Amino acid sequence: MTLALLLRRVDWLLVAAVLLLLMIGQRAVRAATVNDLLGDPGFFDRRHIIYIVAGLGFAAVAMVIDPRIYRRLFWFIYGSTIGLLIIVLGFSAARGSQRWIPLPFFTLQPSELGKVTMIVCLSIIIADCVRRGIRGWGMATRAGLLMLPPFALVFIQPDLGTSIVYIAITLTVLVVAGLPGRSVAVLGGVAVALVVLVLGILPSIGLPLLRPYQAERITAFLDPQGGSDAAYQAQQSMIAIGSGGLAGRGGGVSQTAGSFLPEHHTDFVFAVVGENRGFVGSAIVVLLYLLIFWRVGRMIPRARNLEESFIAAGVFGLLLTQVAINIGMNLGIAPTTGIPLPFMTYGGSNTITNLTAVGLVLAVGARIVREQALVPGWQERPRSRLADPLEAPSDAV
Amino acid sequence: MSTPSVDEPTIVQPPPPEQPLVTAEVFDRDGAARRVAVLGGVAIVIVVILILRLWSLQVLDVQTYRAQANSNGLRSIDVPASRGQILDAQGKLLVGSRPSNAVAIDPTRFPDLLTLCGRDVAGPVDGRTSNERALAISAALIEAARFSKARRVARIAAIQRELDGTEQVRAWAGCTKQYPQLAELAQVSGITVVELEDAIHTAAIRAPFDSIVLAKDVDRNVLFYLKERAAQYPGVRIVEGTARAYRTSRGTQGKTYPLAPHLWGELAEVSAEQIKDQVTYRNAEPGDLVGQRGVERYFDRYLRGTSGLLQRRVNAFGDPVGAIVRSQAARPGDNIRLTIDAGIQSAAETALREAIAYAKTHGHPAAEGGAIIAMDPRTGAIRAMASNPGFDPAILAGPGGQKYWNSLVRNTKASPLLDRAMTGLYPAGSTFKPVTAIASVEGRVAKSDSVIQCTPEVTIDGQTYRNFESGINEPMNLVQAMTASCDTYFYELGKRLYEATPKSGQFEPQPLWARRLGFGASTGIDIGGDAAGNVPDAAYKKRRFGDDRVHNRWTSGDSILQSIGQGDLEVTPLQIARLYALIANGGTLVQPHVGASVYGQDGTMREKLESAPGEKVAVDPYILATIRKGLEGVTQDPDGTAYTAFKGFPILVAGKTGTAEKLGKRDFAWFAGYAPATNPTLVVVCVIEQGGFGGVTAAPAVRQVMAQAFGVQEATIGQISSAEKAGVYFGPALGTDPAQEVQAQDSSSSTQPATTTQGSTR
Repeated sequence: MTLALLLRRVDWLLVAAVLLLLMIGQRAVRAATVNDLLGDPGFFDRRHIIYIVAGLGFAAVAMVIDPRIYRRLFWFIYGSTIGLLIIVLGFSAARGSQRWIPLPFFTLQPSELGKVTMIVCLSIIIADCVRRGIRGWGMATRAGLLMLPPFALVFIQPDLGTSIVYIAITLTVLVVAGLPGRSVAVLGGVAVALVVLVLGILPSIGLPLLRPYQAERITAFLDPQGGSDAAYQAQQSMIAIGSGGLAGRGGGVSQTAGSFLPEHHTDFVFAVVGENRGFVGSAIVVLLYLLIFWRVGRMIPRARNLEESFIAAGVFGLLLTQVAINIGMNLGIAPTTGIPLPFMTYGGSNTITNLTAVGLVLAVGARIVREQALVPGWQERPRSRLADPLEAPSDAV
Repeated sequence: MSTPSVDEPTIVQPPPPEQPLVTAEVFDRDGAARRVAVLGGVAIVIVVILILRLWSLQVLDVQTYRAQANSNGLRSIDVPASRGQILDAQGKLLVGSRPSNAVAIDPTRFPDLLTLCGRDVAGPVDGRTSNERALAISAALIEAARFSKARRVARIAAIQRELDGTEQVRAWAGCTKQYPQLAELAQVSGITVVELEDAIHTAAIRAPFDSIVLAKDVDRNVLFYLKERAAQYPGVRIVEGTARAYRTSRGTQGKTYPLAPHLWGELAEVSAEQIKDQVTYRNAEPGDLVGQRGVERYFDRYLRGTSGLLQRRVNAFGDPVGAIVRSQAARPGDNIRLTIDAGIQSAAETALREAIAYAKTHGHPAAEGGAIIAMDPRTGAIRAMASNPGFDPAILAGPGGQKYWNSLVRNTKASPLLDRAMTGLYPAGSTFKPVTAIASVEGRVAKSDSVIQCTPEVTIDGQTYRNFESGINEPMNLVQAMTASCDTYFYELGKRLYEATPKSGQFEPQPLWARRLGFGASTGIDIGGDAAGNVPDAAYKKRRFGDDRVHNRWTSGDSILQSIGQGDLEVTPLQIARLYALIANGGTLVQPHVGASVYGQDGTMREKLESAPGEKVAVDPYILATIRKGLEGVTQDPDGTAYTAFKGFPILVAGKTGTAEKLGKRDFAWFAGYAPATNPTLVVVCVIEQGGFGGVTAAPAVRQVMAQAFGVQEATIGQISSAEKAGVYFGPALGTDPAQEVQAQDSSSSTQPATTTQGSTR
């Protein structure tokens, strides 16, 4: 379709919400990092803006590209993701725990890019499953096989948080694709069992799979008064947020800008908003995310084909998981993991990843062809009557 | 839904080509949107939970969290490791650490302060910033100590000019104006605003990791004052650290003096250049204090431990509250045991001081500096190394250190920073005669028992050379010539050596043997920094005189002068000590060293530092035995030049006096001896600048050191001097033979440059 048509179809509400969050995030990062590098208060700010611009560029490109092309590029996308993850492991072996590949201008974190590429690959595979009638455990198994290599490579890095996001993306797409509720519950139970296994049982018989600091982060969440690093950060975050009060303490931050909260520009950037803008500001941020969830969720049943529908589902899961865990972590109700807050956390890879995901979703949303007969069987007028006034009355039964 | 009529076929729209038909039985259509609705519900639930939690934290519990925020904070403090101690051979403490509190500020509490005070402007003269110049000057000062006195004076004058220059370009002046509480703080701590700004400037250039120290060794009252008023001085910290403390010794009349100040070296923050030197400064990190010279530098990697880390909760004012969050213990440095013996060192410094004072009041008013070295001739272990004038390292390590350092550097007349024992360059005088004897016998121009007439003077190649003792005219063998220090005997040897110089110019015998016996090069002492000295030879003369046909050759005069340790020969007392150790131990050139071993804090020995065994020099042992006999005669034979000085000493000391001439100055007094002569365990060398006769001025000092080393109780030079002043002692002046003194005064006036011979050393 032409560019003009595309621009008219784009979901500008979604774009506005994302831009607003980007702005709020930029101000938060700037306020927080002002004292980080003596003599250069704008160091992080400048880089953050560059990352945002780069991410918007990627988003624009992703929006313009027709998502049907990705099917042809499936192996290239999948292969290069796995390849980059393996390279990172190579770097990690050489230099100790490391999740990124140093490039001339910035560091590339393949596990972040993998989130987006895996959404695309997963959508293609699961769409095939649905079309061929494979469902239930067959579909789940295929999804598992696809996701196992990247998941394992990320888990070994070690990057617990990102591997959880991979699981969440997979589950979301499977749910949307029709995995029965019972299976979901079983999978959920298995996940919990795994957590108990990895955290509790295996270490006690001498096979710790998690690094000590990772385990400590999770258990610190359960015992916030402990003296560990992770518990300390969670406490500091709550203090910062809590002290923000109703309307915040204004721009001159003391808690988050000082050395009190070390990750104030990354994991804990929400705490900066909490301290500076108080309840009002924090709630606005949360509601903006809710707006984004709604806009993305709307697209899932309306996408013009299965792949795009699942892409939107994957992005939904991606954003929801990151927001839930990151903000939960800031508020002390989720364990500390290195999951970024979309559009707000400082960092090249995650900014580009999340904005690219938005670009994909905008691509999906812009190509919803409203006058076209909705795909039979898929776009049924639902009995629960979630009527879309723009939906053409369906003559097909 | 419209019911289809019976006869009309339903027309099903074909699906668009790319999309395969999804048949209803395969796919759960109702669930699709329902599932999305479920996901939406999950999202809403999550959001509600988050908002409720926000409400709880920010509205319901806001007071609690505000209170916590105010009493909140975490500070990382580097816990400096305690530096190892420096002990003497018996384990006595020579250098240790003492607590030292400093007033410091936390730069993050004063935004823009570092940027303003870090301002530096390239100097107008050479385009270097003032900091670069300061670093260049420090390096140059350390270098200057190695030069001979004349060059050193010129160098230090040049440095002085630069020093004066840097103070004018203070681009950071006034940088603390926007923080008036800093000016108050300066006043309270007892420093001026200029010093305050300089301290911040120096720190700003080094990119401080932690607090900036403003004033060290602050009075306790000041500390209490600041602690009580913490609210008034936010961002001010009291840093508890350590500084070095040095052993002192008791001298005459109960005054205390610093012990061996030249050995230690100062501590300063490691520079970027020094960090690169991973051998000397292994694992040093920015901000660490490291030794800059001497023992502190060359054993820095043992002495400096590893810093620890302390993270404490602090409140908004920086005071610690609550628990230590994380701590990592510092690993203390190891102790170094030296070969130095504190008792002998103290005796050496006292003897040196007293000998100089005595010389000043007994006919040698120009006597100023000097050095004494005591060394074990079997191993090269240095038992004492004293240099006068000295300085007080405790002041350098304290608050007024920088000013004191500047004043020491500017004192070019006395050069107190110079370690004369290792880097002082002197004419050797008669102490060099054993080298001539060895060169002659090994060069086959004489034998150990060769007899030569000792005349009052001799003319060689048109030049007349005089003996110090104008009244002697008798045949002597080597032993006698050594004992009486007959110059003409050695002139003859020098002449023969000159005639034996090969025409091919491959070598000159005198300098060749001088080099073999350790002169003209650094001794390789473990703490480094010793001077190489100068052994003139044909190449040297060419270098020095270039195209001057008259002077640029090796002549008989050069050989003759060098045979009695004069001419352009320059030696250090350390090199002389090594020569006499070789004579005492029968032919081994030992490796002088100061470090003995490394001990952990728990008392276990970690490493032995004693260096390589000496190098055996191929010298006929018979010539050494003959020389030794001659040296014994110096103190035992009434003709010996140090007979009076060692009269009545219960231990047999053998040695050689020297009275070296230097143009434009009075004679330099030398004595190099070892004891007990039968089985020597100690070599002691003393030189006193412009002190006159070796046997009169230097020999009693050596006697005093040996008395301490061998446990002989007798009167010190200082005691005798006080007794004289008090009028209760009328005996002979130490080491003097009145008849010789009169004669010497005659001959010293006759050896003035009028005859252009530098002769007559004794």
